[in-house]
Amino acid sequence: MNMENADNIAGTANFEFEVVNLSKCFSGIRAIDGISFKIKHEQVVSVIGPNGAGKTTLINLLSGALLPDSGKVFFSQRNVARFPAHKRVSLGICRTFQLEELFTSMTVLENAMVGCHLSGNSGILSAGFHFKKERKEEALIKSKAFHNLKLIGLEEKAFQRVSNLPLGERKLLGVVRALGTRPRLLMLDEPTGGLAAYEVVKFKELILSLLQNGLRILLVEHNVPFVMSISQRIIVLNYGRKIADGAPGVVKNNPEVIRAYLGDSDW
Amino acid sequence: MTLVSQTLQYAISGLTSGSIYAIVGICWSIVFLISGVLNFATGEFVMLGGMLTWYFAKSGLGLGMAAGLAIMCTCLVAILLERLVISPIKHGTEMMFMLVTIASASVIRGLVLISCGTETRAIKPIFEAKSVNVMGATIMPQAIFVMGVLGVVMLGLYIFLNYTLFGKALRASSINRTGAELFGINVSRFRLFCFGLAGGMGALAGVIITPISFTGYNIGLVASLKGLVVSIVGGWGIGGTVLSGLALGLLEGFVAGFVSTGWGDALSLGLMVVFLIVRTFDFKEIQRRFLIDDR
Amino acid sequence: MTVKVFENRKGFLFFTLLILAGPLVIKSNYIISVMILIAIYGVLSIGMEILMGQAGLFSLAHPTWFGLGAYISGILTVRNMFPPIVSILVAGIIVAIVAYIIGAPILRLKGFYLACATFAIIIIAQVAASQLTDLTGGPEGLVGVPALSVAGFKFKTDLQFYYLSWIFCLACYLFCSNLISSRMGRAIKSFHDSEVASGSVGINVPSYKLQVFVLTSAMASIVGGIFCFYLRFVVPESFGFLLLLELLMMTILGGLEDIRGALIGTISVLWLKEFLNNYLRKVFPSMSSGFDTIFFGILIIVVLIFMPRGLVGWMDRLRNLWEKQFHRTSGEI
Repeated sequence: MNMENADNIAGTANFEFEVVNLSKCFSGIRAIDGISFKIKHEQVVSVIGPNGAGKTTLINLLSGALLPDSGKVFFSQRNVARFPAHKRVSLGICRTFQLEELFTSMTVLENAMVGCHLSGNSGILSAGFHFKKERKEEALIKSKAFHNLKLIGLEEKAFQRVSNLPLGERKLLGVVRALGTRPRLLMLDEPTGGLAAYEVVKFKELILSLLQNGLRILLVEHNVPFVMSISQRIIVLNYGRKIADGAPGVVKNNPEVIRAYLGDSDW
Repeated sequence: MTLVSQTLQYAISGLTSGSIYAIVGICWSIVFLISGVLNFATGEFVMLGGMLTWYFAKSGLGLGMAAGLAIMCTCLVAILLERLVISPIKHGTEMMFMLVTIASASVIRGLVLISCGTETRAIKPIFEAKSVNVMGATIMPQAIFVMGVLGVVMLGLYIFLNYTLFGKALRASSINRTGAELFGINVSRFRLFCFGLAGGMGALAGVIITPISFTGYNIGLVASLKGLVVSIVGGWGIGGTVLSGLALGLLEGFVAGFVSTGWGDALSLGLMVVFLIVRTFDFKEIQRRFLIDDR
Repeated sequence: MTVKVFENRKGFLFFTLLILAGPLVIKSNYIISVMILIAIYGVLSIGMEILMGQAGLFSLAHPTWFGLGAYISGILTVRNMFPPIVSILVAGIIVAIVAYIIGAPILRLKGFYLACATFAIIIIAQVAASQLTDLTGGPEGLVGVPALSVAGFKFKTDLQFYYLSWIFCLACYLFCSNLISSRMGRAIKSFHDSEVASGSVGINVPSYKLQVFVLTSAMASIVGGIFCFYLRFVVPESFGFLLLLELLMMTILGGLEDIRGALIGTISVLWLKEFLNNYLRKVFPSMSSGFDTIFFGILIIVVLIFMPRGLVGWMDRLRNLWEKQFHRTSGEI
């Protein structure tokens, strides 16, 4: 796997991401109830929990797909809790989706190119009149996208439709599309869901290579062994509340965590 | 006319047209809820009800017979619409159905235009009685009849949907289509039934309103739109649709009476647009922006 | 499908040559006048294709922008407020502003609800045009529009309007074609596929929707101005339901997925209409009035059932079959 990702990752010094008392109710049900945590030095922080614990809601709140009822999210010294999704992306927070949400009418390369959308700023008029500035930007975006595809070995399938790709490659493409936004914090929503063992290995290689260049990752996952092998810190949710937050070894032995996953029995 | 009698007059005429809007709205709702099809030909069923009745009455049939035949023919047209146009589209989106029913409405309208011409037509009211004078307002018995029919239709639907097996199955499949199919309910036959029902009810509405406001080949478009507005504002449910239909009718009646008649259609459509837009705003979020300072 | 840009430009250049050189060979005024209408409606179809096919915005308000452009440029000229060409441009700006004001709230609606709301706009605009008699001339319309004159040169003959309308149409096509294959174009296509994913890569979806909406409304408005000066009068009926039906027919028949579909559809539908009118007049002289609506209605139904991707989709399928055949015979698999 290619390690040249410095271009994708923007700045790692003074990283600070803080969630303060985040809450969200849906028709009376507290999906997220007063969650707080801070990411400063860790490279990979994972969020796990049984089904319905609120993991996807949390990512939706942090990425801007949903707005919270109360609470703050601090990034780059600003409270982004009520920012629309696209504004958060320009600050460096990006996410992937559990169901990939690829652009199915476009090719693999075009998906990667849309990811690099923020690398240009020419508007409708520039595009329509095909100004030189727009042409230059287009060439730049194309080369960046191609470079990103090479990271996951999909450059040969660049002109195929995404619907022809197997699941593993689609998931990788989702990550690579997100990389085009030059994120500082990448939030992954259940990326290994449905993947075969060898695909999980490929995915892990990609993540590790990205981490080499200073990218921070917030990983929401179901696959606990995968999480254990890659995280510096694990946050456990249950019924919308944080029930554990610490190093993998500590969390693994936390009785409340065990109870949440396995029910009340002697293990 | 005194203010009271004016108000009464406009209210009655408003409620009369409101009753028709309510019935047309129910036609829209039933089809949409069961099959997800936005049937823009609903207004044409209303038009056919009136026009066919006029045609059969002109050809010598008694009023009752003509009306009955007209309603049956319109049912048939609705069923043909479902079989020939809706069913063949396998993976239809709401938009595709919308376009296809707009096109079908066009075809129906064109056929009527060619066979019956452009003049407005009239049929005789059901009761030969003269208009009644109440507090200075002139009330046609036909108007009361229309409102009565609405009441009967509502009662009939209520009993049907809540107390018959078929009706309950219909409600079930509108709530959860897959679930209903798993229980052996033939949902596509339901769709056929709903189209036929919409055709019949629409035609009925057309028959009863024509003695008051006449009919012509082109009333279908506006009737469709009014019914759609009423369904949307009423949240597609039957109760809501009836209420918003009557409300719209009243509002139009007062505006037409006290202000002017030309802008009537524009008013109701404008209201629908405003309603749709206002619905998309998250008021709690707006409240929050004004009250909480999140610095 | 990947647009092979070079291939597109070849076709486009060829088409442009045909159009520009056409009148030198074909002198029939009848054909030229039909082609003028094709150019004008073509701009509208292009706009609708961008809105519905690329951006996924089912805005049916196009006839209204067209009508507003026609009325405003007509009114401004008749009242001697501006010279004709300036009136057209001012009308374009006014309509763009109106579209911006209406678009911001209305584009919050999704799918079918957007279609209903924009449909309502057509009716409201028509009612307004009929009721505001002092301004618009009411149902009889605005008459006595002077000739379009630019720096003394007066556009009077059909041939002059032919070149004017086609140059504008081809320019619009080129502009929109560039737009679609650009970064903005990809962004627009992306939110058609998935709004949430589009936002997740930093695309400001509501803003882009509004931009596309305003752009296409301005295009429709300007071509409305040209229409006004071509006919020298403006009536409310031209901008209502029938026009909407024809536009839908053109975009659907041509094919919503590709901008070429807009022009192909417009050419097909208008010539089909002419053919029908001429044929009908000979066979059923009394039936012509209802026939338009019946014909268009049946055609839309047939296309939606049997050819939902339109003529362009059909052409593409043929080309794929041809390529498969070719590869097989040359030994490649």
